[in-house]
Amino acid sequence: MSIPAQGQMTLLTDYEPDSAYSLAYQKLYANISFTWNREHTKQQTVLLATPTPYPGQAAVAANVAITAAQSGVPTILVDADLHTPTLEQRFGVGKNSGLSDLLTHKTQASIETTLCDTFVPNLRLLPVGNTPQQATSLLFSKQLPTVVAGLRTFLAETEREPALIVFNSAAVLASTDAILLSDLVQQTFLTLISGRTTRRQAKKAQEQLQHTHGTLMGVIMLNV
Amino acid sequence: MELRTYWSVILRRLWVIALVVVVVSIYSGYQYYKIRKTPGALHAYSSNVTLLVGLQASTKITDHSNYTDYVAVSESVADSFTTGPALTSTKFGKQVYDQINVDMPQIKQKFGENPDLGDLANPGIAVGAISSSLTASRAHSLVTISASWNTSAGAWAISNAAGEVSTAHINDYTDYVVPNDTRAAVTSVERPVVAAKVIISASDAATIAGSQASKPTLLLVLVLVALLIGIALAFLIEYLDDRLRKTDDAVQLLQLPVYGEVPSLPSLDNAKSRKTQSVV
Repeated sequence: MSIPAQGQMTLLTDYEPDSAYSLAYQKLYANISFTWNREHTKQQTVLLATPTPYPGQAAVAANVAITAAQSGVPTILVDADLHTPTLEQRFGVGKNSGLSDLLTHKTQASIETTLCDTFVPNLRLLPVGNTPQQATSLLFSKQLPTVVAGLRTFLAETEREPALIVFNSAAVLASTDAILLSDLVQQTFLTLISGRTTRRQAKKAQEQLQHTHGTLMGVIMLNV
Repeated sequence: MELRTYWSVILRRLWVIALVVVVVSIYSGYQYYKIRKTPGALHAYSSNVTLLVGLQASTKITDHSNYTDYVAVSESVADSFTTGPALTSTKFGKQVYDQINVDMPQIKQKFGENPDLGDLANPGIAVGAISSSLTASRAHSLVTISASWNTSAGAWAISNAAGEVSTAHINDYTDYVVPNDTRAAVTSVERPVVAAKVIISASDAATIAGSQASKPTLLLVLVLVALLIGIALAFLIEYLDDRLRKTDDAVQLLQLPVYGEVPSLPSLDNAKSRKTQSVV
């Protein structure tokens, strides 16, 4: 059993399904899913990132993943914010091996063993794992494309239904993590925080994401 | 910008407006407090005494002036007394001050044992204050002297004393013949002297607007101006603020579609009671 402590991030599951907050995420997920071509791609990969560090960013990614899982889509939430891992604590999965272990190959970790089931049906979490010393250089690893591909393969093998992988990453302007991941996922969404993100930050983040091969699909507006 | 947008800017920057208005209000409140504490600033008292000024008739006078000449000279004398510097001179003020001291029993009889005479109780400034408190107007030979003071008793005392001093000493101020060096030669000529007579005694003091009576209105205007400045400042800060606030701003800036708008995190008090979440 896990109950969020005071000051800990709140998730969609803390609110009524018909609350305005929950409905906003349902609408967001619906809009994102309308863009998918389920005939060609069974495993969708989505990255959510803010221009600058924002404490609620992990919750946004988690809530999109929860909404997808609650709608019956097998979902993997990948905590790729190696600088400030928060999701494993919130989902109460303990200190397991995770993404960093898969990238470093220091342990015998496999995707199957690092994925953690959560209290939300259909939702698995790939936590950060053993927090590395040099987080950014880890994502520069040649293993990153292999891990992303491995996650898709895992879903293809284990799920008949179309599935989703949601990546939570560090802020675009704070490190190169988001740019590296953006290159590997099918869709990237820039999360802007009303009254916090400046026009200059938003524009700069957009320019950086558009330099990659990834597809910057659009914007998610928070706190409107 | 729509009217609703203007309103949202004002609401968002309410702290700026409130700050400016509060600071100016504190200043205005302090100024108003000082004015209220200053006697005669908001309300003063005025008392009038009316004199008839003219030439004193005498059987000894051997000149051949007629009545019209007397009237003309009387009006001329009244005019010089009214508009000239006599009333506001220090000498006249000192005489009035001395007369008030002489009149003190009469004043006490009218206003009680301890009459509130305001600044008259302060000899250092009383003479100057008396001089500046006196004004006069005239209708032909009738001169009305008004005394404005911060207390009712003081206004009456000054007015009454001014009437008495004028009656006794008007010839010192308005002699219409200028003597030369040989004073004796001048006085040897019989001529009518200037005289004054109180025809309406000092009136009971009436309340009038004080010297700073308009200042409270100005202070109120100052607060309203502060409100306008605060609103202007709020819009200036909004203009200089680079942060995105509306979805439309983001769309316009990035030329990208908005997939979702998530409201601020609601309070968990409004959320359902915390679930016990199972970790498998």
